[in-house]
Amino acid sequence: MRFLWAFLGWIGLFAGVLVTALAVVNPRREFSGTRFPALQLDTRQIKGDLFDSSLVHDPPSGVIIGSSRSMNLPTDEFTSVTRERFFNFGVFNATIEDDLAIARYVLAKAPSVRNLVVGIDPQSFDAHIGPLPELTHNARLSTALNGSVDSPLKRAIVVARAYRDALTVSYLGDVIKSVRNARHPPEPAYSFSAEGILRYPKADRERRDGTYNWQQHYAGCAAVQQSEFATYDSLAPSKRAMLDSLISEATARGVHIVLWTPPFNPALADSLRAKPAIGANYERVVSYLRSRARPPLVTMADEDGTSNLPNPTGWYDCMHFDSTNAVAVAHSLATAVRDANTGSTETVAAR
Amino acid sequence: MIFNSNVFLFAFLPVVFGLFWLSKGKQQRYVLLAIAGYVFYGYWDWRFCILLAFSSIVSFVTGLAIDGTESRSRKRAWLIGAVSVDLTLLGFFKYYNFVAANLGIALDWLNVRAQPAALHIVLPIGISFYTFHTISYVVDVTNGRVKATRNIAEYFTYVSLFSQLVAGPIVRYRQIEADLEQIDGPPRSDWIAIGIGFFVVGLIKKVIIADHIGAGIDPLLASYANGSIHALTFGQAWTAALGYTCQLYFDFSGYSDMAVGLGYLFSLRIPQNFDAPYRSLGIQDFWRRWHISLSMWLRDYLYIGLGGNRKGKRRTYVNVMIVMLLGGLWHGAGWTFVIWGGYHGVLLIIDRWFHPVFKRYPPIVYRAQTFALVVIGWVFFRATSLRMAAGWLKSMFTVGLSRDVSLPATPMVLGWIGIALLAIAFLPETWNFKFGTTRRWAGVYAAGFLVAYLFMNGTNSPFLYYQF
Repeated sequence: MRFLWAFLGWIGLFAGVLVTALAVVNPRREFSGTRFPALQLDTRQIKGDLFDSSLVHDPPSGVIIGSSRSMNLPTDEFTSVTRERFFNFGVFNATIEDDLAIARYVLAKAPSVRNLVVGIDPQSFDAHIGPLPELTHNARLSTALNGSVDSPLKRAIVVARAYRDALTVSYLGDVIKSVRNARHPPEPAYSFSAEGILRYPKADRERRDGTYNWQQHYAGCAAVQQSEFATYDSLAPSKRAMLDSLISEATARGVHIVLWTPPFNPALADSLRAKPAIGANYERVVSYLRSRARPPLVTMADEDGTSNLPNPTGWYDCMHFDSTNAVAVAHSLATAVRDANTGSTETVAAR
Repeated sequence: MIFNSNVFLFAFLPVVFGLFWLSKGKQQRYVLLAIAGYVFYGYWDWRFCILLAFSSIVSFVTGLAIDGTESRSRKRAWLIGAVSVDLTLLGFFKYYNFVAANLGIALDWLNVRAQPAALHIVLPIGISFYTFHTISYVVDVTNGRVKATRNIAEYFTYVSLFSQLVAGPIVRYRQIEADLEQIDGPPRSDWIAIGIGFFVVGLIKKVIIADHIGAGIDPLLASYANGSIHALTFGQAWTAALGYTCQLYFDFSGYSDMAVGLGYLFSLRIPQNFDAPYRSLGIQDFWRRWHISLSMWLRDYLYIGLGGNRKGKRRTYVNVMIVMLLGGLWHGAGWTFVIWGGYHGVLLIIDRWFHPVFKRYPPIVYRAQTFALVVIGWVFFRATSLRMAAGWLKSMFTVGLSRDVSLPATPMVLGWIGIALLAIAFLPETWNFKFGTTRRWAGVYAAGFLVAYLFMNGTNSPFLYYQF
């Protein structure tokens, strides 16, 4: 058995070296290391930390939930309309699981929250799109999603699972890239304010310089969207049940919810609508969200109002609007929040 | 449960291995391995275990009955009874739908309105393999090659041994009997080292080479699912054929290496299943090197039973064709497998016939000829329908007509195929490795395991032979 012990010892040693490298370099920002540049931002972790910090000083009474398409909504616009403090908890590639997990987390941590603005991407109800590792590896959100009580043991299990799942060739490739990038750090593509608002420093600089390759960004984004819609033909009951849980749990605590579907760039919207199956599915999502509306606690913001954005060129790609359009969208949503809080039916009637 | 999964590597194997070496005495170890086999097998579907247990009990009881009688006719009756039960189970679960579908077509053609009932039968995984295990046991007991065991736990261990239960190698009781009898011995450090070495090499073959090639060629072949006959260009068709040739070898020989390695970890020596088959000189030589345990089984229990080569040339060729057609059908219930078997039967006859001519060729030419013929045969083996096989072969041989020789859009697969072909051409077969058994080799095996794990983690890729 000596050989076996030696073999296991070597395995332990190699695995230990690998895990240490993963933790220190931390290219996807899942672990503790910050010395090397990130290749992917773990927005669930970043937003969670920012949210926890915000609770210490001035807890928000409203939280914005959704995908990257909600992430640059300016919270000060909400404040100026509603006179309440908001936090943007939108995360990259949000699924319905993320929406439910974040809603549960913020409601459990911050009793001050009275408003949720939930941006639902139409594909969120696709049965083929499951929770990402960034969610399942996130101790605070995965425990919230499972409805279990957070404990050191559960956190340890989640962390161990994250390390296990990181033992892949592609992750190791990211470690190497990150170490290489440490010598010549690339210009950061994203940054976040204390309120969780996403900024696009690199893209904004390129747009100012006139070097932003709009065509390339649009084409890449549109191809992904079209392929996602190509295999998406029904609203999964399990996903609908998650949104229903979010609504019922939040409204049971008297929280107002504003549902909305973030707009696509008009060119992509036209190309998607040109395909009858996709157009029908999009309509199914919107009508489903409308069916969830129970004013004044749950309202559906005017999706036409948010898609007719003031700046036709204010887009980074096929679905991410820039800060000029973000202000307009935020104003529209903030008005819906204010109306819900004051009991006005104006927004609901506008539909 | 598959060998290349976290549940097997980090839960099932350590627990069974630990309990095995902690347990004392043969009986404890037999019971432990038998239970482990059923847990391993039942992980897919616990209902399959009932069939496995039934088949095992029938052959165990038959063995005792044959051993307990001196009458040749009674021995023969017991043998026929047990083999009939085994073949009936195999026939029903594996071939009923195939036979019913073809009978339906035939009746339709004859304008008969009656149609055989279509049943939704799920094929129990590994049934072809453990059926051959149990048949070989009763035949060997009947012929006096092996004495029937009176220890049911030992017999259950043999049939349900998790290392070779689902996809072989097809181990005969007599090949493993001596090790089973000495299973209560202390652990041998050199066997543990060899076992780990075999397992790691097999894992590397499977998860690094076979799976990467599979990921490259499967999308090419998926285009046939649309019913397109000319789905591939000349270059793509040959890439897919060569790719599948390499994938199948590295997948199946990788699995066999892992099975051998697991056997060594439990002090059981499982026989060799591959011996550099793509370096064969002739198709006869190929079948002495490819899936050796199946070839030898078919030779000993079918070919020789039919008379072998003792009844003249013509009868020998007939016997070869019968064996290869049935061997093809054993792999799967489909005409593509029958044609693949028949194709190899014809090649075997030609190889026998022209062997005096072929052996005068330079070895490299004879080897290349054999390899090319095997590659073409794999088209039938991989094709999911005759239509697909015809379309694929047409694309491989119509460069002059289509004038489209373009290669796959993702050149990565060509790189993996190149690596695989170089390994096939120049690296020794795993059985010819001199596995180091000193402790300094432990680091090498550990590094190999970890590299393989980095490729494997997060994927779910069953072995190709699990479908048979």
